[in-house]
Amino acid sequence: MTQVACALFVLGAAALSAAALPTASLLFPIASCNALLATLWIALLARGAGARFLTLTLVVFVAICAIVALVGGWPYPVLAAAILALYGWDTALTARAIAPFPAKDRRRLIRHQVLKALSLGGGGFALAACGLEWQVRLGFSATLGLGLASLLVLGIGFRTLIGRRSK
Amino acid sequence: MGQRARLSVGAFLMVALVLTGLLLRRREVLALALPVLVYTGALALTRLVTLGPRLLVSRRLEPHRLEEDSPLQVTVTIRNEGRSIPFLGCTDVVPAGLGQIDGETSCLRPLAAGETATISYVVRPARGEHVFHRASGVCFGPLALPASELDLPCEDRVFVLPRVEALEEIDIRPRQTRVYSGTVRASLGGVGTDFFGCRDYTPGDDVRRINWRVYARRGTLVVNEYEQERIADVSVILDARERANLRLGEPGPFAYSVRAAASLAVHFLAAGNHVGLLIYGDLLDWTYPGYGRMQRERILDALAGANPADKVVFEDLRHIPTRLFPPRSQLVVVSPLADQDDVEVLGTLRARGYQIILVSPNPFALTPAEPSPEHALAVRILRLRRALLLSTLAGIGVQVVDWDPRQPLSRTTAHLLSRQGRRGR
Repeated sequence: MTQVACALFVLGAAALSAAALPTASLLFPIASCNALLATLWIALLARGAGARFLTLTLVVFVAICAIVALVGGWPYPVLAAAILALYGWDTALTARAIAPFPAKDRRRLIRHQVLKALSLGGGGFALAACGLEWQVRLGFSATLGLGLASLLVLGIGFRTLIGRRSK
Repeated sequence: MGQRARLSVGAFLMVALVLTGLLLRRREVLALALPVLVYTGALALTRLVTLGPRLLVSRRLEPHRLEEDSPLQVTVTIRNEGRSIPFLGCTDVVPAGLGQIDGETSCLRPLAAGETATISYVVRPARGEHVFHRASGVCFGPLALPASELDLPCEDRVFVLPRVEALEEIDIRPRQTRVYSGTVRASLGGVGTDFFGCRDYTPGDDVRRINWRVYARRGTLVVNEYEQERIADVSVILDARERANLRLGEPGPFAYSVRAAASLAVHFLAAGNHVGLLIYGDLLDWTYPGYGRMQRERILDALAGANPADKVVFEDLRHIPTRLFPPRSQLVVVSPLADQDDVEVLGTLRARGYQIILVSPNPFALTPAEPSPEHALAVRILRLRRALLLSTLAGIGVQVVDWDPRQPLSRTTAHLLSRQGRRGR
């Protein structure tokens, strides 16, 4: 399962590098960053590093995805890259969570994990593709509402994290 | 990383992408937030569906008291008292020192409402008290989405006693015995089995004890006397000083010392003697003398918890509290010995009238092959020093049992401490 997580992330990095092709002058630094992140990811998984390092790598990768999307990269490969990285990260964490259990018991859960990556990843991609195709015009109040809702979710997320640490 | 942390990370990414997209007015970035939203939404939904699983966990240890290296069967039963759980991973948290585990300490399986999952394994625990505190669980929702992490307390404890070896006869001759009949020869004439001497007949003596041959020669009535056999006070002293129990191999001599002390104490108790135990090292752990099975259990309990310690105050054996031992009784010291000071202390005890048996597990018998000539030379010097200490003790009347722990103790004691063994030497 760890190998699957590696493969997903490396594929994501490759997809992101491919997405950066139209950016011309930025292609080389972006591809270099991706290669570096993919190598780091493999090293982290191989050394059994802490989950927070994996999460940090994912965050950096998603940030690069956003940058590539902003500077004019192909949007669909960027989407694919972000989804692959996200489910690579999830698979790596699940692999760690189920590592202590007997191998024969794990098989069924691994099937479910693959199903999850395919269905949720596919669903997410389809939804994002629809979002890219359909133009939705947001008025000021809708944008403000969406922004405030996002900040609220962010606040709740931080509160959860802080609450967890202070225990 | 559990479900809450994944939710937080997902929410953080989603919000960051949405805010960036809104601020920069770029739909590509907003679109990136949608797969993350799907993932986070699925996680949140799973959390709601599988909220608060109700699990009843019980652990059964069979047996609760056992000898070291005996198999201990551990069975953990998890019963789902709540809604169905798509996947439940449960791991029994095994305390350290339980040795090799046969079987699985965890399971990962779907658990329907009212269903029971069982984890069963066998361990061979080391000596001591082992406390099983809890089991840990992790619930996965549909599609292997992590739902919650659980701490399932189910405390139970097992007491592992030192291994007791059956010993053959050990001949002890304390100067003072108790009044009750037993198996220790008391150097007093009376009723017994071994011939002790003759004395003039006094009215009331059993006529079957009259020595008719002496009567034929002298014409006076003389009766035979036999050596009385009584019970004795036996104090077993276990040397638990770190400096005396040099660990040159694995396991160190202390493990063998504990087994020897247990075997000797049980042997003397089985012979009906009044036995006490002093563990000298960490502190003065004194098990008050007594008889019978209860005393056996008390002594084994004390030995189960014995560990070597390095305390300055107990650096040498001078602080052995002799007031605890009945005067002129039998002492059985189990010690690998540290240095000349120990010899002096045992000599002092001997001078006070105690009969002393020293059972000394040889730490150098447990030494692995010497890695270098210098190491070999050091071990040789230490062996010679030890031989000198033991011969000095033998010279002052201490019965020395130089025990190679790789051999059964019974063989060594049968050779050195039994009546037949002594006659044979």
